[in-house]
Amino acid sequence: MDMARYTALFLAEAEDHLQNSEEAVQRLVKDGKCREDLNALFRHLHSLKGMAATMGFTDMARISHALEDLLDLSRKNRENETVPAEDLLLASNGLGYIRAIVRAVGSDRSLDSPDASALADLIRSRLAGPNPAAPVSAPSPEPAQPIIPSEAELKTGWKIELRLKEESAGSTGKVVDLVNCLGALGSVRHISPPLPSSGRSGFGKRITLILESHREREDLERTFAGMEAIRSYKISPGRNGKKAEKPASRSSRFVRVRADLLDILMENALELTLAHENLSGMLGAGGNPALVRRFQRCRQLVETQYATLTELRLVPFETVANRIRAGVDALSARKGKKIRFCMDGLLVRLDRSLLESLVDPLLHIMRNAIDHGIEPPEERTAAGKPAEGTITLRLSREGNEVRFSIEDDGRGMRPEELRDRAVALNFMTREQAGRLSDRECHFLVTLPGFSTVSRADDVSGRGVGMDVVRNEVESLGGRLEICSGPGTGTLFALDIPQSMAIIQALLVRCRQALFAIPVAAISRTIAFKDAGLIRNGGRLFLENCEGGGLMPAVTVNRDSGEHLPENGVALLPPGNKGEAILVDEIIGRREVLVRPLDPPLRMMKRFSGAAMLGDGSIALVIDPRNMSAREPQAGNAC
Amino acid sequence: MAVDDKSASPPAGLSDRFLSFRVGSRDYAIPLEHVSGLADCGPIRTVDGVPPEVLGLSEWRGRLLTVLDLHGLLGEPHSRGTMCLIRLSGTMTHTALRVAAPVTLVTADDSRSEGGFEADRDHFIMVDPTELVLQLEAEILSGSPGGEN
Repeated sequence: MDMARYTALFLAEAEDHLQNSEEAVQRLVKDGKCREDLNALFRHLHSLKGMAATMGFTDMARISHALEDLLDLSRKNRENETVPAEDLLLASNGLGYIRAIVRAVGSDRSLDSPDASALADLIRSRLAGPNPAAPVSAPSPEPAQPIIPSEAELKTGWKIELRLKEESAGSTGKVVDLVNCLGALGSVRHISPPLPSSGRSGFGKRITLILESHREREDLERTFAGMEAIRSYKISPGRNGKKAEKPASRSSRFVRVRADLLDILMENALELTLAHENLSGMLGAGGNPALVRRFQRCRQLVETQYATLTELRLVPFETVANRIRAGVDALSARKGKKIRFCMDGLLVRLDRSLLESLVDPLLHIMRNAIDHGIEPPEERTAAGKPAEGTITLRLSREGNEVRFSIEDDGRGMRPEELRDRAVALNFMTREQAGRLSDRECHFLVTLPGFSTVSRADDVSGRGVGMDVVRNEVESLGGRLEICSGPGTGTLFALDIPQSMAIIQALLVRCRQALFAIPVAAISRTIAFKDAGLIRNGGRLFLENCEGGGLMPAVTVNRDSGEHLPENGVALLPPGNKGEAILVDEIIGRREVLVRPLDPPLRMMKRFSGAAMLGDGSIALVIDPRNMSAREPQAGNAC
Repeated sequence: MAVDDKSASPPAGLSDRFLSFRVGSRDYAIPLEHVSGLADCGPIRTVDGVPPEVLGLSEWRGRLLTVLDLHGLLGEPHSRGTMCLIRLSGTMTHTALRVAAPVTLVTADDSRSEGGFEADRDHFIMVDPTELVLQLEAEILSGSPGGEN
């Protein structure tokens, strides 16, 4: 499979994870006890590992995996909650290495990486130490190899000799800060003295660094001048006297934009559209022809701007579907499993940032499904199942939420095994585990560090993936549901509220008020006079509408008892399942931007949001699923 | 009603700037930290089945604001004067309180009375908009009147 077309997404997401990881390391340097930061760092490394594995960047996956192992020890070491500074420095170096790989990918050049195994070995040797997670109190043995390539191996870059101030000497934390700052300029390829010989008091006053960077000497000088810990520095060119090549411009095709600024732009564009509509009305039909022409041109520009901004925010799910499919294909091939992967709802459009936030969680669920859910072909055949497993990803719009369902037909989860595992991993006592319902047992897999397997690999097994999924879903204001049956498979459902969505809607009027009804919720329309409306037991029914039967009906206004359209239109639901919606008239079909309702109107479940129309009027967007909510008492007129 | 007793001091640490306004015969104030700005009151699209204090939706500079009747929420009579909207902050940036103008910014530097601001602040009845909105949400949920459950 050609993965090159996913490179841009890889670059953008890797940058995010790297930045968040580096920030977590910096916070841990200041407060090594913060488990939240440690968990966050762990999750970002896990994501980086997964992305790298999917893209086939094995060195990056290897380093991420090794760092995960290292930090996992700190995570599990509940007696001593402080993350050793040496581990943080190794993490910082590892992230620098990963950043170098990401940069190399972004600039279309191959990375000379003889050091990946050296760095991984170094991390492993720390793991293999007598008590790696404990704070280092004595010097560690000298490493077999330096963390990153020696100066002799260096092909490009700057050699930087630093002299630290008295008060900063010996502080591993200061060096971590330094490496992080230099990370913004390039990739730190060598540090002397080598890390493991540093011990607790670590570095002395003098440190030598090799920085691979395309930056000018002046850039480096400016950076060092702003670093408080540095007394003096000397910068000289690398071995071949050249600085690194400037990365090619692939990544510059993309600009990362803050979503809230995009929202403001969007709102301004909408305001401009409305102002233009008002001006248009004032200009009238008999205006100056030259003015009218310019006004029309202006209108085109306003409309184009609005459409472009809308396009910036809203994308169909299919834009990331191929990437998810590629991930599933690659992982199933690697695990030797036959998997049929089906997707449905590819054209559902949703907010770009929302979609991007969900790609990783979806991939995590896929990985788990492939690794733990779907059985090997022989096991499936023995169980009477087809050798080929099936994973289905479905997207559907449910009111103002989008539901992502991921279902596999694998071995499912056994609540009793989950209880045993929770006890074995010291998450709870046997008694507490016994009190959990089956549903609660399924949610155990979303606890940080909970895994049903004893050995992790570079795909899954660390109990990180589902932790990531739950965190991400909840941070988006959504909900996660898990249903599983032993032998029959598992369903993960992610219900995510949409911040904005464009829908095809039927614009209708009822008692002078405008409403928008999603076209997908209507199969056809009929006039009342052709069907007939009867009231029975306080409820409305449409008669003779389909095969002579009765169909329950509701009005869009709650006060249906007071207002029944006489010559109105009934909108019939698909498959005649549900209720007909009665309106005075249909205005037409429109594409509308649905905005969520704010407090306290968000409690009105009959409406999934509201839309502003071109003439400045407002239409409430109906959620057909909730139209049959308790019928009204007298309320306000529309 | 989410209105502090007149004699109650504002919680420590709150901003010492307020928006003050007169409703009926009383002076009220909202801490500025709950406010993101003021807006003109445009046409309101009413919504049926909600408590009467929820006036409906209004467009303001391309945004949709949910407009609440502050007079009604405070149990005060409606005013026929010019109305304006106090836009709330935080998670309620698209919610606004309609109130009769004028609305005045009062700061610690203002000395409207000889006793200075502290004495002045005690003069106002403090309003907590978050509490008011939560109360309305509960009312809508409980179906009274015309609420949803």
